[in-house]
Amino acid sequence: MYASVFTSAILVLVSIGYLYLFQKDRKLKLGAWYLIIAVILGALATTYLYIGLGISAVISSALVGVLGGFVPKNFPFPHKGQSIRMAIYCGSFIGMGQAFLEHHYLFIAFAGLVSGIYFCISTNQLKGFGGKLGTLAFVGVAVSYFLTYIFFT
Amino acid sequence: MEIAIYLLFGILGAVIPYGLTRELAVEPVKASALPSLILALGFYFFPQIVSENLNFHIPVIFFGASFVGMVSKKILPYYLEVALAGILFSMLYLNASSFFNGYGGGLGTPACISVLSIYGLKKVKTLVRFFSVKKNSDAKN
Repeated sequence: MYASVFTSAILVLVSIGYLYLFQKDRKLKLGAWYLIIAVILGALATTYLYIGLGISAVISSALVGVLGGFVPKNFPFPHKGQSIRMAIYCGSFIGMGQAFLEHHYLFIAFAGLVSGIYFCISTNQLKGFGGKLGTLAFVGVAVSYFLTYIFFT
Repeated sequence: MEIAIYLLFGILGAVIPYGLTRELAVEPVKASALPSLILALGFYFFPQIVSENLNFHIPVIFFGASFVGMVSKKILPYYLEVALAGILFSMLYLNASSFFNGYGGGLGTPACISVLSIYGLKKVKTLVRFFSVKKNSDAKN
């Protein structure tokens, strides 16, 4: 147990260190809470289509991406619709994973939360690089799987 | 033969969203999701067109390569570079370890790696020039 706490503390510290290192203005901004919710919603919707309804992973993720693409431009706040669409598409990649654990929806929501935090923080990094959203989704899934593994198994 | 088909779909998957974004000003999310959805639905409703193996892998490769196609034209300005990144993505996908199978986001990571590699390949020339200039200035000092 102590080892788990120690390992996760190191993980958190390393993440914070890297995030501070790569932030241009050396300040951690987590203002866009609605993006985290969008990532979680995208992940849960894709999981429902993939695991709940049994549609193939690619179709469910692309469907959520297309539907999310119709979010109005000024939906929560003016000119923020574009980032909401990106966040939903990022979340839809998380939902493409197979069910490893008993409480899969809970795990996906947790992974969405972690990815959403990384998504908010890394808004200015790797701008315009293809595959950034998928990598963020993978980071979220890997970190949350690691945390679940060391604390609950 | 199968590998050639995978590579072809890797190229198509990367170039089609890139072209849609660049020429028709479709936003990247729709440009990536819509062609993948149409292709995946086509393979879902008509699975008898190709063999079972191809039927499983082609939509996945196309979908993964479409993340490569979401790259901005400031990063990779030519179609050839995007097509190369698509080929690299297909090769990474086909040769990746099965350890991360079933993890969400497992497709986006090779896409990011391939885009970064092609971007790095472009920057090799700049790096060589930087080192040669540095060498000259060191020699002068």
